[in-house]
Amino acid sequence: MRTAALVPLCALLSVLAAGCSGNSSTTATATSLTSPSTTVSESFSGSLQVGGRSSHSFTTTTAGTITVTVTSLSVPAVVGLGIGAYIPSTGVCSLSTSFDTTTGASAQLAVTSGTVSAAVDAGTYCVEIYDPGNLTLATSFPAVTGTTSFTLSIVHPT
Amino acid sequence: MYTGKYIACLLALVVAGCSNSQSTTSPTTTTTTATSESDYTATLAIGGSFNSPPFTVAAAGTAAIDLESVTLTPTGPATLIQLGIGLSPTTTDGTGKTVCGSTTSSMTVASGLTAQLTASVTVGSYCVAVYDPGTLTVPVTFLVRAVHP
Repeated sequence: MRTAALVPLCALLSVLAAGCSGNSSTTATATSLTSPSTTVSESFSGSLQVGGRSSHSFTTTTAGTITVTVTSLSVPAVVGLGIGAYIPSTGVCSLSTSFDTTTGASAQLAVTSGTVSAAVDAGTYCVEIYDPGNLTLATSFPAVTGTTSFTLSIVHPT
Repeated sequence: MYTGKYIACLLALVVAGCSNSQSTTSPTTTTTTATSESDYTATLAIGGSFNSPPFTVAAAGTAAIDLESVTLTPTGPATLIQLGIGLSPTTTDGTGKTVCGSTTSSMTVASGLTAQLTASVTVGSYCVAVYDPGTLTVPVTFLVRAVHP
């Protein structure tokens, strides 16, 4: 008798339990969300005089990391590469971090892998390539007349 | 009778289990405070110190200072030399002139491009200090940045 009374109860509980489903029976749909880019990539090219320097400034509105890579130099040479704060009033790139990077030993067109990076807050910054005193070596190559062409790859926060 | 109580108990449990467990979160309000940035550059002698011109903090908040650059010459490569940086409220000297007071917070750092020293500030006038903590063997050129409300 007691068992018989529980049969309709079980049916009722089954219906109620089925109605309790929150999300378990939904079909997951993969949605690809594309985050807005938080970095900017740019290239900076020019010619470096013996004893000279060349810099490029830019502004970031968010914090992040600036990465600079020497992607090409027209001659095998040792050059300085740095990241710093740009002073608009003087036009000076005041370096915060820098190091000397070398090209390969080949006398042909040289490509370096020299990279420098720095964490930054929002602000106005600059990258600079300079002759640390070694570009006189360029005069060893007849095809070079005292200048070195370069290309830098720069990635910085937006 | 026993069965009736049992049924009531089960129904209560089932209904209680029907909660979708959704919680509501009260909206939050984010207040953005405008900030000003000041940069100062100078040459620091061995054992020397520098105080910036006073700047005004217009609202209570946090001031951030970072030593952006230390070089042997104004356009030279970066060095790893550490310098002391600090923040000081202004005070009035015996003649009534506003002068930089003693630093209320300071630290010794190498150059970097993110905030290094942060300090709570109230409305008022402050100075940034840069000094030789005993590390200099030659004069250096520095650039220091202050970001404040």
